[in-house]
Amino acid sequence: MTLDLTRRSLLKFMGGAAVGSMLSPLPWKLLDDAAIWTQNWSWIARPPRGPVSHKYTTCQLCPIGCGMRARLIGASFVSAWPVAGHPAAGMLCPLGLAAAQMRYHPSRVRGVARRDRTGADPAWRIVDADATIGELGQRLAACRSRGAADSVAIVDLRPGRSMSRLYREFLARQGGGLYVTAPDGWQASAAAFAGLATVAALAPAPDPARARTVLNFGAPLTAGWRGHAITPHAAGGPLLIQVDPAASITAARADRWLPARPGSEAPVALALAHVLVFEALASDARVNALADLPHQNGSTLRMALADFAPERVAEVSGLTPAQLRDTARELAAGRPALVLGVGDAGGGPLGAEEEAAIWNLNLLLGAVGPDGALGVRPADTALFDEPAAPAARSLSDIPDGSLDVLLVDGSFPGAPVSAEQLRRKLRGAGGLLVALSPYAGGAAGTPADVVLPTFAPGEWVDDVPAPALSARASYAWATAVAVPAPFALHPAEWLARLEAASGLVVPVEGGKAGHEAELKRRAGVLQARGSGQVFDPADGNTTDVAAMSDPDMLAGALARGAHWSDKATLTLADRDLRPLGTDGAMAAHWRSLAGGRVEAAHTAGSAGSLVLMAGGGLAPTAGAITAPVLNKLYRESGLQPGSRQLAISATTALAHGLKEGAPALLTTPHGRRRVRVRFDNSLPPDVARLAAGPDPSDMGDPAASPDDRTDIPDLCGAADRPVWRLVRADLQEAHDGNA
Amino acid sequence: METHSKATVAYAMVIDLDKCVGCGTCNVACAIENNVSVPPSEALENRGLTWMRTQRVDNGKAWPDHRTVTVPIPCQHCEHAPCIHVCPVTAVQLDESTGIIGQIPTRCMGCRYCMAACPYHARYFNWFDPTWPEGLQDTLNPDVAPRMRGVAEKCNFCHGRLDRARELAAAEGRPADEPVHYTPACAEACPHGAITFGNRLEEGGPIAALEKKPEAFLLLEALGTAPKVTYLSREPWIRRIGLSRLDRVRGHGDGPEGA
Repeated sequence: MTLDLTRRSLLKFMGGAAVGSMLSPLPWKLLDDAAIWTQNWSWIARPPRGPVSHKYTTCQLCPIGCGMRARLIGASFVSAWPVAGHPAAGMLCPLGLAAAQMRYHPSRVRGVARRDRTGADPAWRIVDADATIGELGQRLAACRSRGAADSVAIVDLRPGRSMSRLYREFLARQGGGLYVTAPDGWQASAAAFAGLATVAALAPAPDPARARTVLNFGAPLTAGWRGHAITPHAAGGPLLIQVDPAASITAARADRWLPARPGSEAPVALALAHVLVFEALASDARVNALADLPHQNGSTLRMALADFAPERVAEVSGLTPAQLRDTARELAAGRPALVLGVGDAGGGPLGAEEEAAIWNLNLLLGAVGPDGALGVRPADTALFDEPAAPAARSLSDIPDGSLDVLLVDGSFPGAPVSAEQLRRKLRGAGGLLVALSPYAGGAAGTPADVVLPTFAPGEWVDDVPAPALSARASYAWATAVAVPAPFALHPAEWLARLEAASGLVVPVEGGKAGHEAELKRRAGVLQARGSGQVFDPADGNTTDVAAMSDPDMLAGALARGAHWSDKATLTLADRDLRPLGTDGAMAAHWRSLAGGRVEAAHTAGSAGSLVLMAGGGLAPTAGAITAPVLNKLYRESGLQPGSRQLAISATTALAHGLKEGAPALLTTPHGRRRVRVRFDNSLPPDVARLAAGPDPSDMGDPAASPDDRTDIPDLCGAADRPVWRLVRADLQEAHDGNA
Repeated sequence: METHSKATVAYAMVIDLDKCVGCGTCNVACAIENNVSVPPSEALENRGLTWMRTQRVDNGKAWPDHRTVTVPIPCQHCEHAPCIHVCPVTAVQLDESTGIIGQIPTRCMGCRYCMAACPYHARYFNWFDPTWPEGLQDTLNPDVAPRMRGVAEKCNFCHGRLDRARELAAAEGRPADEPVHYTPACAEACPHGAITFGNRLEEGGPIAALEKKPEAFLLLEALGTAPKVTYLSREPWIRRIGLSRLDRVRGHGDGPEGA
């Protein structure tokens, strides 16, 4: 037999080999390896590797201060998770869950950044840090030498912290600069309550869980108000009556919903007070004891309320007189009752007269005190003996064009402050607005000329005082769980460098050491006070402070993420409360509302086919910087309303010739903004709502035009008026399709 | 002779819509836990990856009678999953020992038949390379591999957490066939306790009890896919969300409130 290599045999061999190889693992292994190989392209992200560990800390992205369990892989802070049973809140909202991403936000600045806002190229540039600090120091020294210390100011967007004390001491050493705060809706509400009491330095501590009946003006109580969702009445919680223009989730789940017109909060509250007083549902003894003016036996209060009969208020509120009377009677019968204001805190504060009217209902219902649902606790300033000078003042107290240097604390990515208002305070083109912030954006970075890069949340130890309207006094530290960025500095270090550059001698305990000393001092104050409990998030146990013999024990616990809290301890007698304010001026304010000019109170001098309501959405404050993953909620799913989505009922939108998703231009007397129409039939006719922030398109993308960049507070006129949550607006289709 | 032991674990989820407020915490927790990437800014809005999607549904009425509900929709992990049968490369598998429908990205060839077959739109396609803003890869979860462009992906009841729970059980010396308890990221993060997760075969367990409640319903039950995600609501109009067009044709949707 000869071996002939023929064409046929070669083909047979090749065919057999191909079929045979298919029966072997070889091709499948190659396919499998190829698939795995394609997972390892160099541009596909690789997760960090290393030992897994956890640290406990406190979220500092909003004032609530929820407990947080940080997961670390090696030294990398990879994710944040809630701490079950934490006294502040056993939950984290999406902002807190994404806290680990805040260190890598695209807006983070990686060196001292500066821009020329008036020049042809307003882009941020990294500049020489020493030269910039030197220039700022010279400006500070010049202000001091010419006796114009009040041309330097610091805006503290989260007062009550250890850094707040350092800011005040810095200003005092500069010769008495201005210390400015910008209260959000909750803080303004707490301040309004304090204005009704003759006792100084106190804070209201409402506790819905202790009430049988809760009347709530717009706050999202069932959706997690201040970290705690209210228990439904059917499950043993209080009877909930919601005053809300929109058919919100809380309104739908409330036991009764009063769909009052936007802006009618104060008349509604005063009508309820009218019924309580004139139907003797609040006893004469109590009304008389609430001595609005000495020796008048409550007559001034009666006169102030006389104009707010339910029949009259019904005309402006859209509610019926029967609804108002029944609600007042229900509150009187369902004591302990609690009345809460604030509404949607993201829309900025309510007016002082509205807050006073709402708090007054609590006074008339006897809610204040240990037997009621409205406790009173010492304000943080009293708890930690904060320096009185320089006194805190609001931005509106500062004359426009008066500041040479305005420092803005940007430790918190969002705050209810108007960028335009901040810029107006500067002395023309010569003034400099300097943000102490990790980001070239947000409340501090957006209006700034210079950004001094500070540590991002999670990179440094900051303290978290009790949030306004918290039911208990509390204190915690947001501890460092991540390696600090090498290009950033502690804000106290920037202050020390500025101080040295201005020619002053920095105190021995200045800079970061000074901040650490203040943190420990506060722990010592609480330990010496000897009351309250400390919650340990690692094991869920609670320890009495009285059992801690050493201040270092409490400081050590706080450094491990513990949370101190204490019940509301102050008691107020009726004689300590003034329904018309300590100066009795509230009667005049209310009288101005009595003419049926409900909307005009907020939108005076403007015309428009719509009432625009500013709201908060998820982001608690305007201009918030949010983690990139949150675009899952805003841009990908549309679950949360962004500041470019105008919620409006289908009927109203169609009446303006606009369909769902249509680009539109929203114009107010204060500005205009491009939006997209989003049908929301929970809103009443001719009312639209715009979230104050964030802008989903700003999650890494620059805005397209000046019309896109108008902040919602500025659009609503926050630079000109303290209450900006309502404004008249016009809406028209945008034909260029770029909304 | 018994050749196969009877399964003792069938993981299932119950979502109480009366507790859900639509905050989106579950969406974010899911994305963080499972390294779900952020699509590039030029991506169309409907090309994102949301393993846990939250759908807003209303009762169709105008203010003041308008009511809305948000419905979190993860993969329903159907007993009779259509996606398994249509996959030409067996990249979708039912794990008989847990009841979890797994997606194997290294097998997936990107035909998207499974996406077309899923009646719940719970599957997503990687139209882009998985990217994160600079530095953000340092926050990825090492228990879950990022997927590549061109493959489908979906909720797997946080399989990385299941693996960790199994490793812990093994380290404690517990038998391999003993059911392990774990909590997916969405259930852990939900601030309102709306999501309950567990073993539906556990007698007296929370899942079995919740699934038997009169307010329980399934999405598109008439299709016969037998989902392992059950929804709860006391509101009749919300319960009608689960009805299919088939149900409505048969007249089951014509309740007094007319959803």
